Amino acid sequence: MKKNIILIFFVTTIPFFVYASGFSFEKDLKQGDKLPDVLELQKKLNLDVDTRISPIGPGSPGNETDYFGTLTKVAVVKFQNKYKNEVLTPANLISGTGFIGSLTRKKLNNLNSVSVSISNPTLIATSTTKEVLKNIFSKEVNPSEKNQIGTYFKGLFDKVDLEGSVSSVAPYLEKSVLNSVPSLTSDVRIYNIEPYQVKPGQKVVVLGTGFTEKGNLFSFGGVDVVPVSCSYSTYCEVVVPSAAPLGEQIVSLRNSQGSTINKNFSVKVYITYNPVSVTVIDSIAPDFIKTSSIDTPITLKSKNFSVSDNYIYTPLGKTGPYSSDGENITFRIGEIGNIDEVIKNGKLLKAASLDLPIRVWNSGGFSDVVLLKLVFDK
Amino acid sequence: MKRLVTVFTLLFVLFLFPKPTNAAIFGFGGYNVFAAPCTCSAGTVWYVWYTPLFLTGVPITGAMAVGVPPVGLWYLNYDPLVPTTWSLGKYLPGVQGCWQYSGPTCVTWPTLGYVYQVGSSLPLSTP
Repeated sequence: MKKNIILIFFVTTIPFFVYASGFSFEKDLKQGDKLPDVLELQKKLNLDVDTRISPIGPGSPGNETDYFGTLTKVAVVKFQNKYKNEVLTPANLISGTGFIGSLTRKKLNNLNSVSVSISNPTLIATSTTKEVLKNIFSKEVNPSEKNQIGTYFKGLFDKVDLEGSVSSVAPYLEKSVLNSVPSLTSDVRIYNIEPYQVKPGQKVVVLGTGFTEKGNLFSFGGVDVVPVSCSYSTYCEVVVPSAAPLGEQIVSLRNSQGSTINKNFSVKVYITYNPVSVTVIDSIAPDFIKTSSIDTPITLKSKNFSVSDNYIYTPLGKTGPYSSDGENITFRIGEIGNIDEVIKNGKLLKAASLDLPIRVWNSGGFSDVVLLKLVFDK
Repeated sequence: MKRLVTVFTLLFVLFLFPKPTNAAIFGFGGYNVFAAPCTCSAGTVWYVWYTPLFLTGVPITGAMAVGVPPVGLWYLNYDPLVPTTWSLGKYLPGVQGCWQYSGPTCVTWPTLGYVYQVGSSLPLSTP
């Protein structure tokens, strides 16, 4: 009987463990703290090899503690440096501090909010398929998480090459599937340059597809430049050429696999000696709204909205422009195009809710994402 | 009696949660409430909201990047982009496949994964 109960416990809880990513960091944390939040922080940091507390001993995956010591501080600094555009730059910091304040908490919580099936922060945003597969299939996965998932997908991890490369995983996926994945395609495209406003001589990140390991030649407003480095066929670091013309300029790429020229869209950056920094949204209030009250004012807070010409973007479309006092933008969800269709369709099945991702576009480019929960009611 | 209840409960739970038939397959099912094109993405990709969305036996809500046409039409019924229909398929978790063109750049929206095979509850229709 006891064995049966244990078996039932494991079988019934595995799927819930897989979803267990919902912890919200609400308190500032610093070295010396001894709190349950620190335990969650260490677990979160250990999910990414770049921010792992320690490979062995206290703080290592599966051995997390509730004490914020030196190792935790070092890992937090690595985390802050990794996400510096969202965590450090808005606070005018160049390097991580090891103190968990509002911006770091926000980033930790945002990672939570979009990681569902496998709560691994490296699976989101700019991650590539190779990274994703590596994290899913390699030993880099937190052992406890690996155990949970591995139990569910019995035997999976024993079969996969621990290098975690796409080629090692390929035998377990159809070849045609791999060829169809956007981030693995050889089609040469530039999706985005971060940040949007840049100085001549500034290093920027270029995201896209079809990047080769060597032989990429970027062009900023007609001035060619060789990237500093490229990896995963989707990511390059490039220094904006000093001779690049000022103003909004098209960025293109040529390599042995093709060119972005003559694609049906062009990606641009704004080159200036006084770049405006990217907007980071601090909060959204209320963060949920019922479909019966879509005219309720919603306020976004930030430290650096533009005074005018702020636009709200969602996958449904854009709305605006909105003016701001620099810190607040107020809008109504009813102003977003296609929202009526979503509400109508959701109500057909008496859906519970959905999370609407929102970004703000202004002179600094696109902000980070905040989520607004849309709750379907009568 | 207790043994019977235990065994029955165990069987119920085992059959309630979907089990992968292939080691590297992640399956999903969901109700499509909205679909928008990912205009920058290589190939033809759509951002599709599902609510409810089933990745295991627990209903959640979320969006997927859906590759169109998916690799191999394994399912009788297609048209996965038509809202208010149910979809069933396979996805690669975590892969961010949706980039939309917005003015001078492309922007990505968070998705739970990239759908590479999908069918829908619609009767077979013109492609």
